[in-house]
Amino acid sequence: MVNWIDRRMSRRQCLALLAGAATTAIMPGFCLGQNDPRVLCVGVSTDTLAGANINDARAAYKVWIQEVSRTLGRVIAQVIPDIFVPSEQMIRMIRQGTIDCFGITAPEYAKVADFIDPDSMILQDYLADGVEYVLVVHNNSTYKKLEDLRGAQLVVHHHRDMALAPAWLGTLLAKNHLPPPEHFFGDQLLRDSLTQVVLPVFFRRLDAACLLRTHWETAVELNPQLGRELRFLAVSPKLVPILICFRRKCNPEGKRILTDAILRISSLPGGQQIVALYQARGFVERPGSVMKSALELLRQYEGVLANLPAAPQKGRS
Amino acid sequence: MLRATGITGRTTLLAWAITLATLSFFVIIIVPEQKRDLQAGLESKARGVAAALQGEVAAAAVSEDFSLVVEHAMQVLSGDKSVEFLVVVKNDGYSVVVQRNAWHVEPHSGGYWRPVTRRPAGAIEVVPGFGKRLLHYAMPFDYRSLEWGWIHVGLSLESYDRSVQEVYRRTGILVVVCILLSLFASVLYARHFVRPILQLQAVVEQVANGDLAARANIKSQDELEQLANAFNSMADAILHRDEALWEAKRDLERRVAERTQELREQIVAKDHAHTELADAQKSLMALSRLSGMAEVATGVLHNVGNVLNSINVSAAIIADRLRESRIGQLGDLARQLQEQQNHLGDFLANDPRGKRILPYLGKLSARLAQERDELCKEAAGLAQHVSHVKEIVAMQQTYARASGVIEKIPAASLLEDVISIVQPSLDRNGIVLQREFEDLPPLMTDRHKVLQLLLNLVRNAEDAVRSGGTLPRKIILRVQRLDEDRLRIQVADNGIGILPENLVRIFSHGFTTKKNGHGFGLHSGALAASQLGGSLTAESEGPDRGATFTLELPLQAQEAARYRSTS
Repeated sequence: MVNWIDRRMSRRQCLALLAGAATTAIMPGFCLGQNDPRVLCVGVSTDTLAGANINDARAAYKVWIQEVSRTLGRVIAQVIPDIFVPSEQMIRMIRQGTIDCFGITAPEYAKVADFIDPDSMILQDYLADGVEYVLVVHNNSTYKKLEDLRGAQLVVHHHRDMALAPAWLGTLLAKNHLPPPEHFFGDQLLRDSLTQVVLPVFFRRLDAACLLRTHWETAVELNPQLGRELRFLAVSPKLVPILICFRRKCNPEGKRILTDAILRISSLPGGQQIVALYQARGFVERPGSVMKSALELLRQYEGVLANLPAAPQKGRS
Repeated sequence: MLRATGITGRTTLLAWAITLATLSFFVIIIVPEQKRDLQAGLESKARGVAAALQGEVAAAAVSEDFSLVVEHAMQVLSGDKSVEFLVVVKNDGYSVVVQRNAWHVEPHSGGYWRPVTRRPAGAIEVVPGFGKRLLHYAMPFDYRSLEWGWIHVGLSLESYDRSVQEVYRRTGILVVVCILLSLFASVLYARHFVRPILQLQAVVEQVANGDLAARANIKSQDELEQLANAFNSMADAILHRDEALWEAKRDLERRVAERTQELREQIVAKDHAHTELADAQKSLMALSRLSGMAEVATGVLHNVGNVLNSINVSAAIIADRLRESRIGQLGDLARQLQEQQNHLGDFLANDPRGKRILPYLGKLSARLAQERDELCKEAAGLAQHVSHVKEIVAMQQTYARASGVIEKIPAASLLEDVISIVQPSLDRNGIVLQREFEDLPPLMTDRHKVLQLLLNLVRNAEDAVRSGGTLPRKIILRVQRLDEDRLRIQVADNGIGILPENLVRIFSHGFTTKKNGHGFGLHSGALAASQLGGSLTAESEGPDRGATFTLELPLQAQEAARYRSTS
């Protein structure tokens, strides 16, 4: 493995690197015209940033790429005009092969799985074993079963890791022979703040909340009363909601260098900013099988969607 | 101590002490004030936090959307590390307690979280439920006119304590710096202030050591310069006086040398005279011895003469009584009776001469008895006089070898003895003797010496009243207590008196105004008085105005002992 951290650059090399990085940063579409095939074109789906400040994220990625290039003494990655790409565009670019390395959500992954290198997936460390979604209600409420929530006010945490929550809720309701969420619940509220997800249920302002189990545990740590007064009505299987992956036929050397750089992302200040953005400690590499459960859930959800009745029923029954 | 400290040290210490006192006062005032300011700053911050939270969540809290309260409170806590807790208390006691890493709801009862007075207040204290010392600020949570509850803000005292410590540290450093600076400044000031004094002291010491030309040169333009100028003037005066003194000294030494030479010569002459004087003294001692013997003899003869005079008088009286005695008539009577012995009865009964015989015998018997008594009295007086002569002789014999006998004698008794000796003579000469005796304790003295002295005085008085003066002739014997230890015996007469010029000479040996006097009586009397520890003085207002002789004697034994030792 190249010990790129310990490398020393001359002032001339440094200036050349900065000039090169600046040039590539202001030259849209230059990614594909690179003479060096090891320079990979990178991008991130905006869906992976749900709930985060996109400007902070953009600055963090830009700084990190410059730091990596300066550290290695060469350009290893280029970004398209904006590193953050809307979901549909990202799917199109992946299918067209105009992007080499990309951060996407599990639903996006399901759409382009055939174009992705299945051998190597890079995950945030806390996602390595997948996450669980929980559906929480108050102990003193009348909601004892899932069907009791018909017409209830549901609050869902607006978070990148909640990318599979709609699929899970839809599948869960379908398995219980209940209408899809938008018809089953009286209201579905999307809240960025975790406290605005859990606390309204605790204070009986809302009926149910859907959030990550890890977030729930954090909230209970802050106030154990939550653990005593709220309970789970349903828990999802472990799922990987977002990931970083490479295009098939990507330059192997460029992939190896960029993978190493991502796995050591915490060693550079810009990388630490990215890690903080994702509230992770770092990234880990996993095989493509890690997405199996998510793909299975998405497959079931597609089935559910396909079997939806024509006239949806909304509101309390 | 003063010398060890010195005026510089003491001035330094004084200036330093004043500075330190001022500094201490300043620190005592300022440090608590700074602490109050820091606490006020904390309270201001807590007030801002509480007001901001209230502004954000007032509506949500009133509508009991406590999730917003918790969220904002946690945002506040995450944004400001100094906020330890936020507690929103509803008036019914329902409370949302938010800390940095926890929050919970609980009912709060009691006045601590819901004070009676709805007024913001802050205090540094250990807050119940949090177990640590914090700034606790409570602010009423009002929404429009609704008194909904309270907001409590707990602020960490970390920055406050750090600031207080910093205040202490800076104050301490400042104090140390000020102490050192003030010490340095005090030393400089003291040296500056004291320098002229020390200069003046050095000059004074020079002058004191004899260098009168030394002068102080101080230009401080203050009292010290005036003092230095005054000292210089004084030194000038001393210098001039010293020169004059030196001149006088030289003159004096010259004169002393001359005088010394004269004294040496005088000493030589004195030694010569002393040798001659010693020789003369030897001769004089021999003459004195002879003279003393003559004086003793004169005294004896004088006293004996006086007594012999009395003896002579008594003898003459006896002779007169015997010559004038009727005992011869008794012989005539016996002869007549013998002539008539044959018819004695008829003679006694019928004869006119015989009839007068028996009454005559009665009268003669009485007369003879009277004569016998008078003769006996005179014979007794004669015997007493002879005894007195013996005493005089014996006393004079003891002059050379032994002191007189000291005995306790009532003064009045002594005077009565004198009176008994002189009374006949006084009576014969028509002299009235008046006694003025105070009641006195007995005195310890030589009885015969005092008796002789008083006898001389009374006889002198008798001679004086017989020689002139006023009538009736009178002698007063007076005894008085002079003080605790002494008495006074006075013999006063109204006789011829004493001339003033003679008052100082009458006690001299050989001086007398009497035709037949020896000039020894008063002299020996004065000597005797002195030997007895007393004194003899004379007073007189002049011729024919009488005289008073005063004898003062000690009463106590120690005075008599002194007399005994001197005698």
